[in-house]
Amino acid sequence: MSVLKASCPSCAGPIEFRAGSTIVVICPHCRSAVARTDRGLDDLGKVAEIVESQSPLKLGLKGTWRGHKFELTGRSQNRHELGGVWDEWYAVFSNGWVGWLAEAQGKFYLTFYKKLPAGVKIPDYESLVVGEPIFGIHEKLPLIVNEKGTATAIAAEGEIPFKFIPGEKRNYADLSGEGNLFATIDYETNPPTVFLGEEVKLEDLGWADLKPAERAERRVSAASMNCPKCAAPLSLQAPDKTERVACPYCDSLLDVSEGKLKWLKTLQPSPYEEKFCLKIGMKASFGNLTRNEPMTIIGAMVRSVTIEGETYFWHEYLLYNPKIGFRWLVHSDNHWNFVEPVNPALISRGSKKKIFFEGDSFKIFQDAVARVEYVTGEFYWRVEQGESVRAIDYIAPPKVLSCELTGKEMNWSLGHYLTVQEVEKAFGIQNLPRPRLIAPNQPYTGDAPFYIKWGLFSIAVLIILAILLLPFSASTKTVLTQTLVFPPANNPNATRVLFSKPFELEANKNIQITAKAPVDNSWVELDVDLINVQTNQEVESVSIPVEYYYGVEDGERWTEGGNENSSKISSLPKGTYVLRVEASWQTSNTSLPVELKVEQGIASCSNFICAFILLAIVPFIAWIRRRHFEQQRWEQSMFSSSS
Amino acid sequence: MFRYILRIIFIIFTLTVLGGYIMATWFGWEIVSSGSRSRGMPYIFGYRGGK
Repeated sequence: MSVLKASCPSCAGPIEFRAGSTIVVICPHCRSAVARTDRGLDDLGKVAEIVESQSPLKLGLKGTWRGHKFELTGRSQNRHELGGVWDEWYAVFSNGWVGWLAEAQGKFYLTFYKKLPAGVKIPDYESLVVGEPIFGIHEKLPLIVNEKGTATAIAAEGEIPFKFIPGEKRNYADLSGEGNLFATIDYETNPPTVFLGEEVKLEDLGWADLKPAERAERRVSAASMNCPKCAAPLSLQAPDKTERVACPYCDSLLDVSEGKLKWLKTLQPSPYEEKFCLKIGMKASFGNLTRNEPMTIIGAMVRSVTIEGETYFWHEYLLYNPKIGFRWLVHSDNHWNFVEPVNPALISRGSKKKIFFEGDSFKIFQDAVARVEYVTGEFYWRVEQGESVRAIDYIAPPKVLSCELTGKEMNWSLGHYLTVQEVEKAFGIQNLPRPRLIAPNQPYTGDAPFYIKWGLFSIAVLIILAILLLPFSASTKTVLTQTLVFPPANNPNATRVLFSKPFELEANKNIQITAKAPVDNSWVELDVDLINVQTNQEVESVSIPVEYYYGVEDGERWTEGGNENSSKISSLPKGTYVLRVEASWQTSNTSLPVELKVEQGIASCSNFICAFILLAIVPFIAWIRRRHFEQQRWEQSMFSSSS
Repeated sequence: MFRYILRIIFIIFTLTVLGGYIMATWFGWEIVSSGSRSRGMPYIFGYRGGK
């Protein structure tokens, strides 16, 4: 490419416009922004020094993306409304492409100018709504507005393809979509300019071995590293990222965004009586959640929600690692959650109360305004005591998806439930307080699922067995049918005894003895003994009462009992038996004809019912316990009908 | 460890119930026998008394 060499209009030092698309060059000698125009070179003013960070990128770095080589030729640094700073690197490709590589909080986004198809109109900045989808930027997929705000251009170096004016403010919106899609809308131009690309990793750009720059901790001037109010020494854990720090000695909120510590205000004391149980500076590794990298606690805050007049507090710890970025550890009711940001485009809505993420269904649990009550340590945005956001929680234990919404920004984060033991092990500490209540996303760790599954399985086996054994258990055969006529008794309390004719019983078949008598508002009591003819021994004895009553009461007919009754007994050894029947009856002065029937192989429900009850008891109790656990969980939700 | 022991006991219990049901059905036992003067047990050991 042809290189335009010139002299800086401010200091006359040599400058070069190496790329054809370069509009502004930052003079490396005097840091003036020099723009090339039709009239020649214009001095746009001095540009501040780049805020050094642990970024692994630098000017002149060469990379490869999808087989195309590129070089980072320029860098602009912008400040977010809330104070955070991010870099945008200007990438010039060997095939003539020009792209932007944005770097923010350890993430990288490569975007290119996107010419929108005819007919596609981008909403204007004022009407843009955070959380709403925008169609037309990507050919197929909608992009969700994550954030809209105003960026201030603060510093630059190298070559910039636009007219970089230090201190200039411009409105922008960031969007994301499925498959790591990312887009930015720049409202500086009319119509707005759209840049479309994707989130990338360093290895995607051929920089797998690139490490964060091992820069010395950024030091503000020695005088400013002490708290400007109480002069206590303050050591910043993430000096290139920190925007606010709270002095732990005098509870002052300090601003670090302008290169030195500036006193803002004195913090009101925390209204939460519980103290932080973890300290600033403590380190922990959370295994796969942090790619085995250690995270350091750099800040902590007390937050609250007020629901139905009652205020609930909890602690949040800000964790930081240069390779991982920022994460959170939330401590609420002595339950712990590790929280990481997620791409909102990966979340799909099922209904108002249900959303889907990575194959899981999340139910709405809470929707309230969360307020920052107190802070300590460092924060990467201009945190304020009393700032509030709308916080919506959706649960799919052991995970929780949280959405924090302001008018300009929407952030989604995924929480992973951690046990107290896991947190103790991660930090190498002991005796953290134990929880009492059930957390919203606390997983159920009881054995109920095992007992319910195994119990239902065994009941299913029981039903199958009952069906398969039916031919064996229910092949009914009548072995005796006889009518015995008992002669009248002189004494009402006397009994009469008669014997049946002999009959054969088979082994392994149950026995049912049925007696039928002509009772009419009276009773008959029959004591029936089975006697083995061969041994002349009584082997079984049953009592068969037969009673039947009826009448009319208040114009309605009623009946009770019947004139037939039966008894069922277990099988007896094969052999010849007789029945010895001893009868007493109410109308003993009349004869009593009794029809007897003995049957074998009667289908019996009692064995099945007994087995069913025995098999169902434990699963039923387990199910009750599981249900009770879920009821306790949802008692704390304002959407308890979602359970 | 205790939880696993309980699970094993439960499995043994369900298998015992199912086995008992099979045996009762096969041998014609009535678990809930109506014999008011019987001991409610299947006839296995012979004479159990009488008049």
